[in-house]
Amino acid sequence: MTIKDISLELTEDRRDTLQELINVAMGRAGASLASHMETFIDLSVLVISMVNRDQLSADMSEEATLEPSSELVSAIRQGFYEGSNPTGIRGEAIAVFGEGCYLRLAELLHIEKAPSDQLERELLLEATNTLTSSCMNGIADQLEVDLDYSAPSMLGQQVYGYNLLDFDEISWDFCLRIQVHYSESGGFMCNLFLLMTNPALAQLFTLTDKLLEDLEGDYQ
Amino acid sequence: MPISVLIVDDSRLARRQLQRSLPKEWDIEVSTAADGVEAMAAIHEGKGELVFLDLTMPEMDGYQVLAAIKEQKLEVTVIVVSADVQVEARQRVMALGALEFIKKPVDIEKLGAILNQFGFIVLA
Repeated sequence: MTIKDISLELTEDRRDTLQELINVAMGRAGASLASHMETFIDLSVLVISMVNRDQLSADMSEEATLEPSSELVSAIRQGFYEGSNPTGIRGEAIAVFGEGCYLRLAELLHIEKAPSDQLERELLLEATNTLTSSCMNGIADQLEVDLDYSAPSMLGQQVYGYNLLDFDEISWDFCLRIQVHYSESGGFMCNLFLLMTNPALAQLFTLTDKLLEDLEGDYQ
Repeated sequence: MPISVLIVDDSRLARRQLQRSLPKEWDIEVSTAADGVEAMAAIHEGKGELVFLDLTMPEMDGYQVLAAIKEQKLEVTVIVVSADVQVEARQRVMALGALEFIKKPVDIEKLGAILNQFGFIVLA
């Protein structure tokens, strides 16, 4: 993959800053989720990397598969953007849930309804909204921007991971990909992919560079 | 006599943010460590009378550092600074002997209040 513009390089400093921003955002999200669902949520940031189009499709299908082994997944996409700033940060979140995850969610939320595709859709759309916004809001707060979110929509319900992303739909060459993993001792599990490409990516790096630079000088 | 302060975190951003949060009037000497192993080495060199400790670090994490300090009976005051603010995390670190637990990003006023509470304001 060639990165044509040096300002889009994922330097160690940028990766470090993003990792820290997400750690803090995840910490806050986890705590509010845990109290909302009365359980302990395990969070980990798995990957921060630049990927090209081909790689993303392949990775998504491979990494979309969750443990315990589950071939069928349901995935939801949701866009985020700065409503008041058209040249601000924007991107896409894709939440991937393993088969039957929604049943554990229903249990955690004390929802007593019969299992159905409809129930899965409702619960996963809601969960995606919660997971995405709690994570992204945490990042946005630290960067001092305000984010809005589009309504979440199903990418695929009970499909194989490799069918998730329609290759033709992706119009960009490369993007920043952040993969966050949520899990819980009772079996709930979600892989959340946060994707950002140019020009929003340049804006994100501008903000993270500034955050670190403002602290330069006497500090180690 | 300046107090030796050790900031332990694998993130440079976090180390800088914390350092900036320390009261300006303080008479201190600040050192940093990027993981638990470096932290223990610095503590043994006398650089950590007061330690600000992150939890998630490679090589040796915050919990392991607390356990080692307790086991070796080192005279060190530890304040945990972490992004993981779940109740269970707080309980674990307090049980391991941490003085206090504050969440990231560090609130300067809260930090000042906690240090004040434990008698740590030292004016040069």
